[in-house]
Amino acid sequence: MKDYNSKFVLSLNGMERLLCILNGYRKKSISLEEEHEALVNVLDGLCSLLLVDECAEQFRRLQGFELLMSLSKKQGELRRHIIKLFDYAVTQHELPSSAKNARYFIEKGGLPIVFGVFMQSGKKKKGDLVIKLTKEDHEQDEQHVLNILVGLLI
Amino acid sequence: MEHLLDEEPEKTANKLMHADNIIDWLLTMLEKGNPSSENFLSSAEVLFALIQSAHQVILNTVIR
Repeated sequence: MKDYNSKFVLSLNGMERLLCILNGYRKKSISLEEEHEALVNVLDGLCSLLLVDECAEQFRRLQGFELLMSLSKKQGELRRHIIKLFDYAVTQHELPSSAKNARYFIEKGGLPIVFGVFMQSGKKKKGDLVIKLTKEDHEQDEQHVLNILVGLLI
Repeated sequence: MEHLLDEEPEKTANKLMHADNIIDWLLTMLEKGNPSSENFLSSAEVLFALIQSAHQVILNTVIR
């Protein structure tokens, strides 16, 4: 069944197409809660794909890191889900691509984004979708940030 | 489909692996569909459930 995720990425261009869907949101804003939820599902789907080595490799080659870094600056409400995805991308130590991804993440300027979340920075713009977060959500965010930092140090 | 994936993830994900057209259709819905329509969210949910179930099957295989 490992083949499924590989097949999704390689023959259906699934990874590329999911990244293209996200790419569209670099220029437009998210206005509806359902739209936000759909994008969260896309990001979570990418997280699952990143558990397979060739998918993680493909993610880096398709400039997934650059796209999501750019998206996290423009779509603040998606930032915590993007951080979760970075956690998946750089902390799967059993995968050979994980170390390469970790180096690439630092080279492309991922650290300021991680520390920004850690410091809970980021201004809300007028008209931004407001998503209420629970204490557990904040704890999960901190957990993802810590995982990334530990992953990068190892 | 989501229900099937919840109930029998392994069996359903295995079958869907041979149904490229459905996956392709879900991706097209996300690429070209109207983000304000309910189908947009449903497509994203099913696609995520599918990918996640495929992963769950990998984990189960490794554990076994």
